[in-house]
Amino acid sequence: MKLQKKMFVRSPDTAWQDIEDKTVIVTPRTKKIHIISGSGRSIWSCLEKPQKLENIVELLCGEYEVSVQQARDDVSRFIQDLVDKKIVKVVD
Amino acid sequence: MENIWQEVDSTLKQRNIPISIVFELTRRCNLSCIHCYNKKDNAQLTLKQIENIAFSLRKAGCLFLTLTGGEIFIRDDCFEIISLLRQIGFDIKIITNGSLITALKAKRLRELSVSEIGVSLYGVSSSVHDKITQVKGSFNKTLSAIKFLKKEGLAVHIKCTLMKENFVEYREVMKLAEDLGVTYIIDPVISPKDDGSKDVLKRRLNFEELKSFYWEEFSNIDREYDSQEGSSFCDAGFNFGAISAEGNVYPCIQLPLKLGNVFEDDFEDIWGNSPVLNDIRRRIHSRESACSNCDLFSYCSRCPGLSYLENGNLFGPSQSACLTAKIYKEFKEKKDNEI
Repeated sequence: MKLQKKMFVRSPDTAWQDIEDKTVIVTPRTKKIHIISGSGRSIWSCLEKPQKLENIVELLCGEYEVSVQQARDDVSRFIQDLVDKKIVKVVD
Repeated sequence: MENIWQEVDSTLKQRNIPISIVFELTRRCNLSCIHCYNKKDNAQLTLKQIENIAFSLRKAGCLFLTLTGGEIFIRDDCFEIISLLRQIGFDIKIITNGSLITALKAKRLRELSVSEIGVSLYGVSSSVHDKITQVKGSFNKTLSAIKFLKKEGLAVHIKCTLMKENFVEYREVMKLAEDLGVTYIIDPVISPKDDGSKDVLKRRLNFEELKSFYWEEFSNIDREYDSQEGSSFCDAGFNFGAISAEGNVYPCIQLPLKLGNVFEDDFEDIWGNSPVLNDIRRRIHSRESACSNCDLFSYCSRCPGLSYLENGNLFGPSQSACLTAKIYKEFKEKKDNEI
């Protein structure tokens, strides 16, 4: 999937909670639990509202010392993983 | 729960984070079950109260909410509540008698991604079920509800409290659940009422009926107890709690020992600083138990809530647990002799 032109947002099917330095995400329908930490939490936080990939990349570059290309690669991989797990959905 | 939960388990335990709360939204009910533990009053939280409590629970670390009553679907604003709680980010389970759930409501529950619906079903016939609920027609409505929910792909869990009145049909309830493709629990424990009344305990199975039920259960599962089972505590008051329809905070809905009230104090403050709760935690950590010298100790799986309701001492014995332990001991000894 070409991610650059898409917008992403948290799936409304999820439940989640912050526990210290981790975020626990539950998908009620599949009863699966996912735990994210570090920069993943920042991404999860901004996905409360629909975001383009580049917005997320910009956010990470502002928070962490990382090149734009590295951030773009990491974010793309992470977002794709969350989409595959149905924790994040693509907004039309 | 998956092993992944272990990543946060130590944090939950060290900080006593109330990750799972049973939330009693109302005590109003459209049925009148003969074994019900609830007080018969009209206590009910308003939508605004529920919203405020929900944000307090969220701040305290709660993720899993189990909504119960009374009967929550008696409320006209029930779906407004569930929708609000889902938007905040809670995982929602519901306990219901099912009799007010229509096909449309089942669809709505699916749209809200409710995690599980526990439905109380006491038999496979109106003559048994309706006699227990004391409302004619409730069996057909509940059975229809289970089918509506299942059709929507929701996780349905039949809850059958076992008593003298339905002992004859519990095997059929199990078969019905299997035929419908839903999970179930058959529970022979009838609790004293929250107002202290024990009249309802006359509904409990007698010893022979209980033994017959448990021997069949034990034969079907591979159940082993560890030697500290009798003094073990569940997570009540640590990672598990309850809030009543008047805003009282309890370690568990089965253990109505008031720790505080959310209309008088902040929930997080109650959970962290209640002298009653901290005393319980201290005594649990020191492994206090009135049962440690009992010869049934290693066969016992005791609910402190039942101990409290039956005898006023959550660290003491519970008649229902003692009976079950006695039955299990006999079963184990018979099995060991067969080897």
